[in-house]
Amino acid sequence: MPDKGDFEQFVAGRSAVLLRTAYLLCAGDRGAAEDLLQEVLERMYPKWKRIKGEPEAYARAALANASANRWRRRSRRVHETPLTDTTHTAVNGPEKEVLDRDEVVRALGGLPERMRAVLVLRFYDDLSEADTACALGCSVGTVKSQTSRGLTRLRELLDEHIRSKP
Amino acid sequence: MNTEELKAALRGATVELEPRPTLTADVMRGGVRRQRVRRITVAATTLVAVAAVSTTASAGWQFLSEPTQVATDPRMTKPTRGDLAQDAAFLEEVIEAWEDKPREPVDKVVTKPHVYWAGTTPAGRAAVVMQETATHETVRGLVGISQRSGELELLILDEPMPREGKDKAYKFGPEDRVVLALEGEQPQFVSDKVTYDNPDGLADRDWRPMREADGVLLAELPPGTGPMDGNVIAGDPNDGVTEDEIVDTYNADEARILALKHTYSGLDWGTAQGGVHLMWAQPGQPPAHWNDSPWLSERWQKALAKTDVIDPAQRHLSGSHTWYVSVAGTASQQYVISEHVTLHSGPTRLYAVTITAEGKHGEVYSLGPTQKGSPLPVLVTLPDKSGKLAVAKGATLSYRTTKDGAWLENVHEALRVPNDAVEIRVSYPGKEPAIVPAAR
Repeated sequence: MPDKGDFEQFVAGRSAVLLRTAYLLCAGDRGAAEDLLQEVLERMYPKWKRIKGEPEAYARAALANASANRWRRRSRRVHETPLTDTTHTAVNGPEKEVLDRDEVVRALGGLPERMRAVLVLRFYDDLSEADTACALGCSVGTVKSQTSRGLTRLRELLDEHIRSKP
Repeated sequence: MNTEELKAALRGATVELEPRPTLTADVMRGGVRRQRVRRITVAATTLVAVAAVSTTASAGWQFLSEPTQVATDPRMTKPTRGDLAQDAAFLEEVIEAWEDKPREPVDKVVTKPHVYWAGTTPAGRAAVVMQETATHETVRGLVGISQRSGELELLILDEPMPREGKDKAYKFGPEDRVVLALEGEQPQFVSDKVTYDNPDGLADRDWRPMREADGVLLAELPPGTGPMDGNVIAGDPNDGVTEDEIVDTYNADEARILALKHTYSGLDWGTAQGGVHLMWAQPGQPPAHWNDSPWLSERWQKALAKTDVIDPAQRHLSGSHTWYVSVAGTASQQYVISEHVTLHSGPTRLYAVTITAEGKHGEVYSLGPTQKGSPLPVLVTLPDKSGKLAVAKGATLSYRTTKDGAWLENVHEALRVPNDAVEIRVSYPGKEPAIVPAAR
């Protein structure tokens, strides 16, 4: 029987951190990120006592792997507005920084899920190449190539976005 | 952008994110449910495994004897069904398409693939393939003609999530209008859309039986049906539809789902920072908790999750809403009003949740659709008929009781409109005011 108290404490204590990873894996779709996180955490509950190592690392890897399939799995669920759909006014000044962040999150949405997961684990969660490979069940070489291609593609997407601005 | 700038941007974009207040409770409830379902599934498959081993031995199913394990799903051990079950060439093509799938299932598969059904559908030849995992769960796939390539491909990979133990239905073909469900113990019915054509604005669906096709059930939805409009239930719709009877459906055309999702159908009134925009109806005194987003969200979501007013297929809500309006009522209750955003076709709909003096949620009332393109997107009659509510984010609102009378009130965004009002004036900064009939 899982230790309900420990698990509950883990969820209450680490949900915010994990939600942020999920949010980026879902390219800024807050509703999908909460769905994804809830699903992963629910699935951890029956396995709680059998999880080896850090539960947070386990959850993060599960989020990255599950994010690739989220549309199919949650096709009938109702989601809320993706933050990336929010219309912002293009302005300079303090708000400009917020816009840039949103643009990066939006650009993440233009990457294939696996590539996006590599970038999120490497550059948001600060995982090493080896840890990223372990989390995603692929080779370090794949992580390296996906990182390189992902960064290039991300820059292209951001450039396209900037050029498309009036 | 270098990697340090990327790191900074990712951190900056997420720093203010907090999970909804009910997440921990929701996870605990869901986790316990999953464990209970899993126990039942494990017990059932253990019993079936004993039967399957003896059946395999006596019937001599060669494909199960090597090099993989014995299947425990009884459907894996039975001959292929469907009108193309004897078409060996087609079955071979199906297995090739299955093996050529773009990605492998998350869980390791340990049996050889089995074509459960192969037959003719309104979208051409199709088949359902099954393969079992090391955890004795069955991965399924729908193989059919791709609308994109015109080739036989794996259209849907159906892994045993998120509601273990329940079969799914598949939508594929032109506009994903062909529906295929696996035959089960319960009769299955299909509906193409939800309607609200009744005085109380209650969600209603016309359920039609699906056509039996030797192992699966088929139906074709009308042209123009939205990708998420159709639903399947397993059970009798005549005694009401519960969430447990809803059969999850997977669409072959994920691009349409993505496009639908990125075309937000709601009023999109959230704050620029992704927060919830909160309003209260004036004139009068602000209702309690009108500016407490978690408090409102918790009651709103709980009320809508339980109500029979909305479509059962849409009852499962998640995440936070982009706006709420609190409306003072009597001493014993107030209303919280917002829209219910779904992936279905048509405008979002407005609902009022009654909040008692003790802070508990009560009745849910259907108030009608939003009018997204209108200068006044929300104009509804309050459930107690004491007046109307007019809401327009960013606008100043007034009303008058005669066509040439004086404009009364001048409130920000949310206005209580008396029953004798004839017109409402909606003024956005820098724009000509719009006049909207109160009896719209």
